[in-house]
Amino acid sequence: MITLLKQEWMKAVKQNRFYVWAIISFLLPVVTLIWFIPAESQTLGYAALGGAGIVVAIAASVLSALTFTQEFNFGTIRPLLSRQYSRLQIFISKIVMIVIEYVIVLASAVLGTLAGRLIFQTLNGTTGTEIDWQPFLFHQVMDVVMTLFFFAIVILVSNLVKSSAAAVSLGIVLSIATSIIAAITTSLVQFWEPLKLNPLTVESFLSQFDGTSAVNFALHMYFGADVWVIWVVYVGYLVLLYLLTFLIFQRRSV
Amino acid sequence: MSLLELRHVSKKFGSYQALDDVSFSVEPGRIVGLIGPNGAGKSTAMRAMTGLMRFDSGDIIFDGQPVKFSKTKALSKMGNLIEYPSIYPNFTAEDHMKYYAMDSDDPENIQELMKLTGIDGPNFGKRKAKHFSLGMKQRLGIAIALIRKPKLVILDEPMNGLDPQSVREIRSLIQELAQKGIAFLISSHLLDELQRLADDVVIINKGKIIRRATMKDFLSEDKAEVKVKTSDNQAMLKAAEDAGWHAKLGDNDQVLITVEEGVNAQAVLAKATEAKLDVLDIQTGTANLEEHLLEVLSEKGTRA
Repeated sequence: MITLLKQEWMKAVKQNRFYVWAIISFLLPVVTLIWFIPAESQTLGYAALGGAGIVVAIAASVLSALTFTQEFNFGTIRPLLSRQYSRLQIFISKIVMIVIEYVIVLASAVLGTLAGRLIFQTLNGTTGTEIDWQPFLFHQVMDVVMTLFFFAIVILVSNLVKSSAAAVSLGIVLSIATSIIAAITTSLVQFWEPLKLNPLTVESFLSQFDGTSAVNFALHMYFGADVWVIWVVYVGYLVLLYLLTFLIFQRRSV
Repeated sequence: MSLLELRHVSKKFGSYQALDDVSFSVEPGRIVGLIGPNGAGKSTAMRAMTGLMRFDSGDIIFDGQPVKFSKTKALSKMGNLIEYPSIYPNFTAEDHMKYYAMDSDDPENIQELMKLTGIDGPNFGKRKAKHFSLGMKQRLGIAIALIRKPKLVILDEPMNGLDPQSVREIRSLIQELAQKGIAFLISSHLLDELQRLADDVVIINKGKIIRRATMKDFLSEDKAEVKVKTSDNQAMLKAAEDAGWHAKLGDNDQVLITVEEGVNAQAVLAKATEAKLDVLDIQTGTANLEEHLLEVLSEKGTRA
């Protein structure tokens, strides 16, 4: 597994140059927080990672879509699979590497945000630059957890259609439209109650989770279940999606 | 003991029988040519051998272990280049070698292998593979197939895109490695090249193995012919047949007479003179893989 991870890392760096996303994610908040966001909006700017949030989302979409489809496009899927490793090992190594790349890009955005804040404070003083650290960091962790769902869908589609373009497009649409789709499905719940447990609604509502009792209560009221049950449902969906994706990958002749 | 053995392997794609009870083996140090027309099942067989494709029935044993669809430990000792070189466009040749060398505890020396396959020169260096010509990619593909010190190398059309000099170099390399005990299974449409290279030949058509033999035996089946053009080819044909020779009218306004004991160009000339025919042209052909392959395929009534 270590060998496979090293190889995936080599591809991430040399072939996909994921570090470009990390650099952009670092620089963008530095620039926006220093020059474009006034003191009264700085706190909001930190929550949005100085505008790098969207870059991180697009990076997640592109990197996850590429991981399988590029192997089909380059024809490297054959040497990739005709080795001593099982397809499960190859599959897991790819998922792990996507998460590692994502965490690095997200961490760059967070560091860029903090660097931008620091420079802003040096230039303009500390007024308006308060950060509530616990929710800020908790939000980033939640971001990683919720992105696992997003990865699962993009990888599923990319394995089905073997097209980077289709998977990237879907990823970008999903990263923007998940809440819209969830809102639509939520409104349909009035016609059929069990629809509220659809994966998009679960993901959308759970992404609001911040550990506070107010949100816990809201989740409980909507789903009629404890928060841990909703988490179990979410994890169940994750397992199901990754399992389905793996089965498609595992059965594919190349 | 065979290094690679296919036993009654069959594979259907819908109603199309891609492999039909295919059995053959590859011995260590032998160069085996797998030949047949397009769509005969060569690539399908190669994909099955490399664990890339499920097959419906039969067994494939490599280095004493069954080759399975998803995981085969023995594949660490098999190198392959199937259909086209698979490269990462932003990797250099050296990156590729380092990448694939990770799969082995004891890989070939990267620099030596790059030199051996001719991918160490100024044309390669630090250039990204996306800028390589087809021939350069092909050399890289062959180098990748060799990096894990394989016992068997499967090469599908390895000479594709190579210039004559490169073809000669790759041929020498394959022969040199075969002498060291590495087996090669090579599919190629360049039959002249295979004729020079392969020790054994396996002919496949419509998913069936129709002939397995050593190259020498296979070519010896192909009788050399005297091709003669005379002032009256019908009369020449009759004279040859009257003499009990195997003769037929060929394309190109010639009479083709099989060389046998006592039958050669001189005897044909003598026979033509005896029949008072003017000889306009006479040639002696040697055994040829391409012609004999076509003959075998038509004999079997399976030619695509």
